[in-house]
Amino acid sequence: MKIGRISLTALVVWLAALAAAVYTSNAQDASMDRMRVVSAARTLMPRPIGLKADPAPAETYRRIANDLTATNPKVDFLATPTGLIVRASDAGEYVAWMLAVTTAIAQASQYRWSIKELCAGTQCPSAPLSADLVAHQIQTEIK
Amino acid sequence: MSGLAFAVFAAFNLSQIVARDNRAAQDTAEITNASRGYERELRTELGHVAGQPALAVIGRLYSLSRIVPETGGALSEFRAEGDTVKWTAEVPDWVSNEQIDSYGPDIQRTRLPTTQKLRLTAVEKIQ
Repeated sequence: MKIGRISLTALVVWLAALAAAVYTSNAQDASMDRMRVVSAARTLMPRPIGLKADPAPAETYRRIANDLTATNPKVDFLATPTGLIVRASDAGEYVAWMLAVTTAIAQASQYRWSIKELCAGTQCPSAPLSADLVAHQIQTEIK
Repeated sequence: MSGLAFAVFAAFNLSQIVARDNRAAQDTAEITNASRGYERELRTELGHVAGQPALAVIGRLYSLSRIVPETGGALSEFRAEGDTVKWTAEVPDWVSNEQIDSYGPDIQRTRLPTTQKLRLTAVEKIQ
């Protein structure tokens, strides 16, 4: 009778152990799958991209100044190593000057043009209408 | 006895699996946060470099030089440095506040009694 009870207990323990083993094995497989997915996600993560602004080469300003001088006689174009100055010494040439500025930007629209200094008015220091423009090329870089 | 030992071993394995699952969940959250943070940063940077700032400044000069004369005034000076614009205009003193406010934000008014005009000055950040 006692031996029978021990055998039954042993059988129950073994059955429980086997059930635990099967469950553990399944859980381990699922866990390994999740780890693999997370690991793949980590390798597929995009590397952070930064943006930087590289100054346009001086040649760009020279080319624009040369191209526009011929067609805009009332406006002066002065190419410097770091920018392009568009100037009109007669305040009455406001429309021509403004058109010249926008045309200069359109000549190299692949660059991002910004104003270093602009002055319009009779009290401006160099000329009544003057715009000092700078261009930058936006580049991407892996951080 | 050996069955009991086997059950204990299985329980230990299970605890390891739970710990590994928790790590995987933490890693997933970390990857998600990093990706979203990166996306936000890139969107902000792209917003800064989009467009042509010089044309925005020229556009502001153009619009001011058109709207100020509509009230019999004149834009006397317009200066820009980077994205900061400072302008001065003179308009007749009978021009209403609503009309002046339509020129732009934060316009300072100074009365010029001898000429019956108002001098308007403003500093703006061009986006």
